[in-house]
Amino acid sequence: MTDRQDIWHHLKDHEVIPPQEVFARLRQMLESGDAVPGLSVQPPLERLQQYAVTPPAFLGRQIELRLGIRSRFLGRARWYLSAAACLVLVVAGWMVYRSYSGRENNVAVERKVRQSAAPVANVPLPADTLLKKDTPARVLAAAGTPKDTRSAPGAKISVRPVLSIEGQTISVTDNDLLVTFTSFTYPAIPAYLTRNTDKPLKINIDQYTHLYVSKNMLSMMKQTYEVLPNGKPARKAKKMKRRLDNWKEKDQKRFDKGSGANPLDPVDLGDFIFR
Amino acid sequence: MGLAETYNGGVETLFTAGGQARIRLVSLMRIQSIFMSTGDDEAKRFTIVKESGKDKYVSRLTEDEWKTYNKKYDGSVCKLTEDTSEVLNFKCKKAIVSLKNGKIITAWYTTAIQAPAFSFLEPAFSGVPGLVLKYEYTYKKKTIAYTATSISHAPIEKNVFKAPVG
Repeated sequence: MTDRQDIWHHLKDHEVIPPQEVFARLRQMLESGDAVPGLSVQPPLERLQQYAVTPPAFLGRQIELRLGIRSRFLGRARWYLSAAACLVLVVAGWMVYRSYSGRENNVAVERKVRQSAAPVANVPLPADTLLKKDTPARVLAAAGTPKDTRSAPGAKISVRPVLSIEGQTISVTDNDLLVTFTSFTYPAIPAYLTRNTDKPLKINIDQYTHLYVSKNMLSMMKQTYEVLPNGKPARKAKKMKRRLDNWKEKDQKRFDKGSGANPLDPVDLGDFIFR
Repeated sequence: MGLAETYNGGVETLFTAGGQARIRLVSLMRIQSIFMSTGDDEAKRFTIVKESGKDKYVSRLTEDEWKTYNKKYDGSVCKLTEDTSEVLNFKCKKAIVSLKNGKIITAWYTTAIQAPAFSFLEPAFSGVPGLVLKYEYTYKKKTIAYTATSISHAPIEKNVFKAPVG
């Protein structure tokens, strides 16, 4: 007969409110925990738990917030997790930045000084005019004062049409060294551009000057010649070529056409190449 | 690796003879020269020539225009120190050139060789009492350094000092 919900509902229709004194007496007994004749020995709260109903989620959350027990713990945990995530992101970003900026090498430029008392004409120059420190510098005194000659035509504005590299002579393309070294076509690509090396490449410009191409630059130029199995330029090669072209464009924009910036000035050059 | 790599390994050659001077930079990215000559009126003339590439150009500047071109060195201070360094077997002293904007160039110079023409071509070192054989400039923790590798007194062809006409 227990838990007959149908009977319970019917009985509820006929319920009668007990007299006030009965209600007070009953309450007193329940609060004191005294045994009530005819009732179960279970304390009232435990009996009520049989009819416990789980509150809705939103109500449960509000109860927790009101109590302030579980939410505080969750809040702290969430804060720590967020802070840790931010820290990891910052550290990762810093490491990426450092590794990128670390790849940018310092730049070294040779400095050569050619000093003579007066320029001379029609004096055959030896192939290499570099003076060894133990050779007396007396060549000029023997040459005497140069004669006045008819003004020679202005020097051509151009790089020498040929360069010398490791004993080989190569023609300069478009009057531009960078273009020359990235414009070879198969099978004419020189070995010094495709081999693996740790040494810079020496290029003889003329009797006064030679140039060194750094190993990093050699590596980049080598990339422009990578090809696919079908012989077409690889994606990496095209990307590097675009990169070099982009650098050239930026360089021209900075230093050409009356820009006011001087690439022979260390401050102008340094501020530009290291920006 | 950035654009700086195209200038790495470059060579700067300074020529001087009979009051004329030229400074030339040769690098993978460009070849450029600045010529200095002295006219009959004793006035100096400067010619900037870009020698490489399809688009070559020539700029001619009077002495006043050259000073304007290098106005960032106006008011710069050159401090001579007792620090020394050896370059090409020359004992060089250290000079610190401080520009008005706070930028600093550190130079090592020798008094054993005097080349006053270069002080016009390199206004950064106009206050240095000798020939600069080494110098450095640092920007954003990266340094560009120039170090002398040779000095020659051999005769120089006259055409070396002849700036292009037109």
